[in-house]
Amino acid sequence: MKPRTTTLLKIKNEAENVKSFTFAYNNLGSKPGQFVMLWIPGIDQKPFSIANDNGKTFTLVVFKINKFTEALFNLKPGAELGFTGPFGKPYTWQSKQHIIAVGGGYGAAPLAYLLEQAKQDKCTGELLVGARTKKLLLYTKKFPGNTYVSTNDGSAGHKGYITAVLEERLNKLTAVQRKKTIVCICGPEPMEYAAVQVATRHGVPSQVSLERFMKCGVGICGQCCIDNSGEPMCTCGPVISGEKALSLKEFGKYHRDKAGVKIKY
Amino acid sequence: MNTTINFLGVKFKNPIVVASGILGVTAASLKRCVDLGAGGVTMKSVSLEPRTGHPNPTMAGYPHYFMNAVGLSNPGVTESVDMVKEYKSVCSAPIIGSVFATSAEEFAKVSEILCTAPIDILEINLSCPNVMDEFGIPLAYSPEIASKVVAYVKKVAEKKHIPIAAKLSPNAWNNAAIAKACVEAGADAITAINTVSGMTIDVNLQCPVLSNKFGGISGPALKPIAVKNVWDVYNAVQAPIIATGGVTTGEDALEMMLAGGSLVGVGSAIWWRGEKVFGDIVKEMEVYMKKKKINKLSDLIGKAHK
Repeated sequence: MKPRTTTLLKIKNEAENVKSFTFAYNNLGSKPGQFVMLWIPGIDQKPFSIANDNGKTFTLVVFKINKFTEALFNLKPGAELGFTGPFGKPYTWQSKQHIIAVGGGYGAAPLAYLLEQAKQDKCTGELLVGARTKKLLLYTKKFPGNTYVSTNDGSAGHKGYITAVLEERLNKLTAVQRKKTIVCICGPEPMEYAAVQVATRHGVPSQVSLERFMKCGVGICGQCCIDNSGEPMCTCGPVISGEKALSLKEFGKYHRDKAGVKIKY
Repeated sequence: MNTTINFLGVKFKNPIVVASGILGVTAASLKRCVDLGAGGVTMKSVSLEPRTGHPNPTMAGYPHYFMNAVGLSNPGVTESVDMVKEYKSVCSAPIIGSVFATSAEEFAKVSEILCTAPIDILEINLSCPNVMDEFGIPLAYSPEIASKVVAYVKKVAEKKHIPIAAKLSPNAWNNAAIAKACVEAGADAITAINTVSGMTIDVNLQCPVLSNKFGGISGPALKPIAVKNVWDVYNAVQAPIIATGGVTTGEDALEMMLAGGSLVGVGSAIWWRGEKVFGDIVKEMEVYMKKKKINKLSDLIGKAHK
């Protein structure tokens, strides 16, 4: 957790106010669902889940939302930055499983990486992405034929929530298919909560990535500890099983801000 | 073998306590440290109003030291009263409350509120090294100022029969005198020590690593400094000591007890040995007790002062 140094290689538009940033780093050794803490000296250091890692570069997909991400959007290729990580527990799968990846907004970031990695273990996959409106959808062209979208305003795909699409996809599974299916979720927490419930109702195991305010990334500061297990999400998460998530009293209900004050969803 | 420590009338099943600022934001995470083997816990210091602290990086780990400048982020004392109540409803191990303020008067105010919570001991954080720019010289650098704060806090804590511990700084050169002044002003115990002030610079990016530039050093680099401070305080006062600073192994904890510590704080050891470190340290102390045929761990307190 001594900061490592990396050079920004490439910036690409992904959706409205969403860009991907590719950094040079050999052998990062990350797994889908893990995160790095990206450091812009003089600004801040923030956690981002890894959207790709090919052994030579890694990519983060970032939504412009605050002072830190604005500073990141203003950088040019060649900029040198610091980072720590990769940290945390990743998504896990077994060979030949079928993975339904469900993303909400920029929460879809780690899911394409997940599906691509799992393909190497002969897994099949489909990507379900939802957003408020068409312009905010991520990765709609990455998995042709295996992508299902929803928008709140109906500008693309199903009009409404992505959980309705998940319900539909799960309904189509045969009993045999259902047995080898897992649902991997990342997005705003109320959507995650609903998606875990849909998967559970269908008897399909799920995994979900929880976002909590993080400072150290190594399970010391206690800022990201979750109620009521007390586990730090930087080391015991961010990816946990849906079953576990539903057993936690704060999942889908509240989180804590950087002072430690509880904030309701 | 008996590892229990009776500290100011509060019974700890072993001397290892989670140091302030470590996994101390929520009741559930403190309870989890007890499940992992700690004999007691210290909450993260709280102030009158919520504080968001410094931007990241607030912590950095290196082979021989850990460094932090979190900036005393906390949800404020009122929310923390509920946190302590919640902790006590799920965990029976003692909890040490920790307060931070910038003046004796404000310390008394925060303490008065926190003492409405079922804390077992109240620790006065006189010594955070990371807030100098914001608040002037740390209170723990002067016997006069430190004892004034202690006297103010004592007044409100004794109404609730809660013993108080003054947490000293290794940056002060005269901790024996400061400990003495604190005890004379009413401190029932001394916590020695907080982190030592330091700095680390990233040579690639050519800038300080912590957003606050300076931070508090903990971990193995701090330990010999802590042992000496505990030794000095033990010589200076009769009050029991919570010995904290750089303990990562059972041997380190034993060293602290031999120097004069009754309880031993453990914190950034997690960086080296993971969160199981609390229980592992206790097990390592038990191995030593067996080998040395020691029945009562408390017999070791101050034993190196021959």
